[in-house]
Amino acid sequence: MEIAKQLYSYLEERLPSNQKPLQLTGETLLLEQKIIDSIGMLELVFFIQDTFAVEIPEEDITPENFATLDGLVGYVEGLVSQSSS
Amino acid sequence: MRTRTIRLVHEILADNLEVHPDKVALVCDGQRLTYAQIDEMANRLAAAFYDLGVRRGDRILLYLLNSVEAVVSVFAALKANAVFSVIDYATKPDKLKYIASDCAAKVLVTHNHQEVLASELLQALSSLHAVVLTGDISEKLGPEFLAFDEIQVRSAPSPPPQLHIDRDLAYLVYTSGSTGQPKGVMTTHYSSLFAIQIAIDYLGLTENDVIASPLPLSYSHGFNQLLKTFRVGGTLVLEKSFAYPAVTLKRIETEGVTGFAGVPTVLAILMKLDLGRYDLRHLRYISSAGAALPPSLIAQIRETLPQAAIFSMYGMAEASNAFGLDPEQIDYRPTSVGRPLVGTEAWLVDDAGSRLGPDQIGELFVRGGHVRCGYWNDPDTSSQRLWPGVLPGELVCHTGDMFRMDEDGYYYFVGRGDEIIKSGGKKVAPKEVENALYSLSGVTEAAAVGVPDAILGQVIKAFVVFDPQRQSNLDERAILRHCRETLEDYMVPRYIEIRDSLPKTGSGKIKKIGLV
Repeated sequence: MEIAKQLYSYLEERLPSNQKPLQLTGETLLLEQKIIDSIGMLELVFFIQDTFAVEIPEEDITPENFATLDGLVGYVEGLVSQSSS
Repeated sequence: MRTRTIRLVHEILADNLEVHPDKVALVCDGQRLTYAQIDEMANRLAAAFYDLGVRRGDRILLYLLNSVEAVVSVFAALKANAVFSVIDYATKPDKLKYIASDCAAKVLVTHNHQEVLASELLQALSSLHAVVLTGDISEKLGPEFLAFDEIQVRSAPSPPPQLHIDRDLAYLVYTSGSTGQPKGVMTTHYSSLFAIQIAIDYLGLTENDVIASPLPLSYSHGFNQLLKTFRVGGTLVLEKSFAYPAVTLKRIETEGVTGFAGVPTVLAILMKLDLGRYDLRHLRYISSAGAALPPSLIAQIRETLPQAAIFSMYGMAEASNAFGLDPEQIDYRPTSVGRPLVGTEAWLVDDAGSRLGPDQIGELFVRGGHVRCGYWNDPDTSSQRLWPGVLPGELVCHTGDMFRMDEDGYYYFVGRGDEIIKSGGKKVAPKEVENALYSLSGVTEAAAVGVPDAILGQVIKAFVVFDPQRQSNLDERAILRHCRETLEDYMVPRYIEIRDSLPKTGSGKIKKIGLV
């Protein structure tokens, strides 16, 4: 829950406020709906690594893991539980 | 055997139809399209544009991520005798509205995610007649909205009669200006094809080339990849973005990519990956433009991809593909932008307008068929940047940038004549960032400057002074949030410093030199 909250908060801050009524949901397409761009993706990776003390392998940065908030939360939760076990 | 004379940009498609209609022209977003398929889709969309009232010279805005729909729309607009402009998908709504108003766009093509924004534009702009949306569209939308997919089913594959000649405008490239408002660089069919041929000759492209590009089509170097590849009858692997570098690398491997187009930022990210895990044996070259490649990055690429020649190019929206460095020179002159490419004449002048010789620093002028004809709706800026040339009626590009030339005719970038910052290969006008900062209540002084960054080349640092008479509860985080809301991501300051005052020049202007 904590992971989901932190990721939501990070992305919510990047929500284009003048494009309301766009709401950030678990299925919002982060790239297509302009929450992040290519450089933003890099910053998001750094944010996750710093915040959750995990390493993200380059091959994990895929649409399956990073295209939506739902995908991202599932991926980071898996990563955190792996690193703590 | 190709016999067709190409005078218009979209005739590139017809040329390929005669030679190899069923060759894969485009690999994008999980789709593989042949030249014949793209041509037919463009014909159907062109017919729909005509039915929407698009006539010769009307403007069509393409506000799209790299996609099949974007490529088809480019050729459809030209087949409909229109002038298109691909707008950076990062562009904020206010700026998009400015651009749509500036060029009095008649049709907007965009993704279904932008339906709300498109509705606002339709209401606000009387020139805008219709919006074509990609993807699924809501049934509640009015008759001004058309679905791209439905057009492909219902519209006839018969474009209107061809009216353009090569002196007509093909597209506008909106670029950041030092005044803070984007300017539309007007590109004719002739100057576009001239610039494309220069690059084809420089890179030695053939129909066997498979070129991958993650650069947006809104960006000159990105758009040129599409035209170059199609002009030689090759295959373009168009990435939606560079958000997933490992996925892009895997595609370079599986598609047997022979040429990769980047900017220094993209290449710097690429060099951080473990390239040894991918089979990149077909990659014969890497091209870069947008900013100088740092020598350390060149060395890294040379070591990691020894089979790939590095083609470092320099140009501008006003005269693209003007300079190129021979790959064999990159180890000896890594900081040079190269020599003027075939078809380009360049020279440097001092303040008095006299031409300079080797090892003297002066402003760069460029002459050639690729020099664009001006800025849309902006005769003042046009006359500042495009000066009367050697022959009557000719224009030469007064770049405003400072260069030096060595004894062998190689040019070296010294500095910009304006304050423009280059971040990640994109131009940022400090004034635009400063305007965003000044729009915050209580801000009395603001300055934006470029500071070095290992990945992006430069990032923005903002200095802010608040009115001491007013209690401001704004902190750096709040300023940043405001900037994110009003500015494109690449313009948002990386660093913010709140000061009590900023240094001034004798005339009272903020003195940026020495601020950092």
